[in-house]
Amino acid sequence: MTSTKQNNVTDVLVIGSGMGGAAMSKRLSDAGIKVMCLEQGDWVHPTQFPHFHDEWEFEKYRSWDFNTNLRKGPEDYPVTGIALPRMVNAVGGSTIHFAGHWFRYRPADFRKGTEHGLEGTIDWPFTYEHLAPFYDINDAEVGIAGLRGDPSYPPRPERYSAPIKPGKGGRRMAQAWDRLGWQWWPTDNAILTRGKDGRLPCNSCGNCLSGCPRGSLGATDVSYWPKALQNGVDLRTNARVEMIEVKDGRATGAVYIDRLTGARQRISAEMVVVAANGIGTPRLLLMSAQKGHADGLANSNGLVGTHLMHHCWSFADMWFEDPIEGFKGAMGCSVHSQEFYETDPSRGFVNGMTLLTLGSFGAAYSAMGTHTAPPDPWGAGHRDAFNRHFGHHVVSFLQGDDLPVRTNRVTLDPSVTDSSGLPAAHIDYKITQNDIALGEFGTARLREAAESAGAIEAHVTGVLHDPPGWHLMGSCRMGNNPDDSVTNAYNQTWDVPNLFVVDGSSLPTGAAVNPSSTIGAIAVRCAEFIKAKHADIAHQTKTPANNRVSW
Amino acid sequence: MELRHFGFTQSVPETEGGDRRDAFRAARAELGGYPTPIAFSERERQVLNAICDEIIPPGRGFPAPSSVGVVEDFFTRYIAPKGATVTRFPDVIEDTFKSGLATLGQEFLTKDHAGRVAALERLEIEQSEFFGQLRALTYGGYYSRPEVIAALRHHHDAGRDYRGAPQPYGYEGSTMDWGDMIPPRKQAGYTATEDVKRLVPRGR
Repeated sequence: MTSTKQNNVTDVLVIGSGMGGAAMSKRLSDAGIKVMCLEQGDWVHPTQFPHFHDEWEFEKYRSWDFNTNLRKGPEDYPVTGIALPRMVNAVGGSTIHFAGHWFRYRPADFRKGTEHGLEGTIDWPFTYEHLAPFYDINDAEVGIAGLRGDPSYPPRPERYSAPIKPGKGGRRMAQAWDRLGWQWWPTDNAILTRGKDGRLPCNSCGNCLSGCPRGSLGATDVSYWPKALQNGVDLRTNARVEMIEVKDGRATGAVYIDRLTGARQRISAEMVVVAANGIGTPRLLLMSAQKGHADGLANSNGLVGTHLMHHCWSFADMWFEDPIEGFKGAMGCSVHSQEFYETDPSRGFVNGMTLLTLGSFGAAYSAMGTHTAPPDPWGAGHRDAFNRHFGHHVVSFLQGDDLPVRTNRVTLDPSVTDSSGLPAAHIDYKITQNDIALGEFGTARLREAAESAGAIEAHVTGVLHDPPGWHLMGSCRMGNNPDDSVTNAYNQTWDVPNLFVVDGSSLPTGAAVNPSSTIGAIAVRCAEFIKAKHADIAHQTKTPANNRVSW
Repeated sequence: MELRHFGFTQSVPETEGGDRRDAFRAARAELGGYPTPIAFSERERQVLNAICDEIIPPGRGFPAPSSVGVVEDFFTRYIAPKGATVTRFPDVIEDTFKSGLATLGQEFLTKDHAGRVAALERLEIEQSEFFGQLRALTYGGYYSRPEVIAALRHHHDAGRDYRGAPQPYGYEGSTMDWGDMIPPRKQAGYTATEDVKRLVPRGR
């Protein structure tokens, strides 16, 4: 039986509590709008962080694995097909253990349709300049460490705090890139280097990728959610949405399963915002097939789930004669190079890449091969190999802008289900020749940089087929008209005017940077749109065309 | 509570009137491994310690795995108990693991060092998955032991400040900062919105 109680009525229903859902919930509730957010996971309890435990590294492969198919938590759902899905189902979503990399897109990233239009590439329905003020707002909400003045980007405000420390490893790579004459800059990170709102500054412990018990990492459970709850947002955890409901072409709310009781609850809402990530959102829209929407919601053009992007990846684990102490410093990228960021057709491919660095975790991780290498040998050769490797390591890798391809997609698995009987997501993804060429070019640059840095040993993966799915993008993209996209320029689905999508699936292109900052900016922008146009949206029976996008 | 997903069925007991979150917690991979460690027979314990001491031989200031409880304190907690329907890394179940151990035979402990190494080399080839699990448990357990962390601090050129578990101390005081390396010298630009143009022919 489905319950519809009076407290199950809200103005805006948000599904998903990660970057998009948290920013949306907080910014809407700032204006007094009644918001309910449904999250199928729960709060991460302080005792779940492994940072204080001797076996902290082993837990990376267990409860703190990125991959839901390996983590197999009760709140997780299976992802089948060509999939190495990296996501977290908890309050905070995947920001719970992201690295905090906080790049913006560059202006040309919004104009790739103009630049080349290959495969399914389209222009964004707005420019960098339209999004810039919302990047600024999101940055201020989250608290960003970085260095102002990077000439590779348009001018922007001072960061909240100084850049994270590079350690010997970050400095070594910057010096290597200097010798090669490559551009580099200290990376912006959603990691506090001075306190904010009761959150502690980073103490350089190096284990960001298992979350942050200090609140230094800008996960939305500590950056946005305290304020959203103070505003009165009704955040319901263990609430697994099974269907978004639509009547006469307008969303009326959703039905969710309360995982604590098994009971179903029906929520009535004037607007619905889906922010369930680049796999979860198309999955939910497809699961919400109903009368009038036989192929799923917002899917009359067949584009829901399509044009999935993961970025293109290649890694170089490197070891040096002298100590690097890579277990020190925030784990994530302290310095990056965008020397090869923009399209140069003479290279034989379009788009570009960012070269990043990461730290090293600890002794067990080192013995087991660090990020990509085989484990240290056992037996007589172990001590020499381990001693040569531990504390002498840096990893650099490329993150490439992969093309959006219609057949790279999220669908529903016909037979596999989650623990509530809801269909698993299924991924089809094939890397393009362009992306392989991009990755091979970048891999050669990684080798060059390893030599310039003085590495005495390197393990280089080459282009990863299949790519890891840390970034889930493009699968319900914004666009220019109902033929090329799922939503308009303001994240309204073309089919259902009061149904919005705000997460990684919204991104028409992936750029060559981590998407969290851009997802948050889009969510803030969409929240401002809803605040400004609430009365219009309440009466729309047809989603407006983009016409002139003014902000 | 019964969870059916990811190809397994997991039954997790619930308390009448209790909070289902307790069951969810028990269904996850909890920190510290399984709350009730498995038990090895005395012979199994001896064989495993002998294996671990060959995988990571002691010396140069580093203790033997058998002297720091790798088997007794770590293996026992990270091997899933018999009858477990779900496993997580290193995906080892007690009865399968003990069967694998038994294939080394009664005579493993009677072999000398060279004989034990030869037996493990054969195991690495003939039962690569089982050997990989042994190695992962040995490496993961050994390099989490306080005595080994101490050895790294005293006997490794890059380990002087290493603490093992990263909190509560962190490494803020000893992590190198940028100093005068920033701002970087090379100045690079970007293509402005109004300057974006077609870079490849249409129809390519």
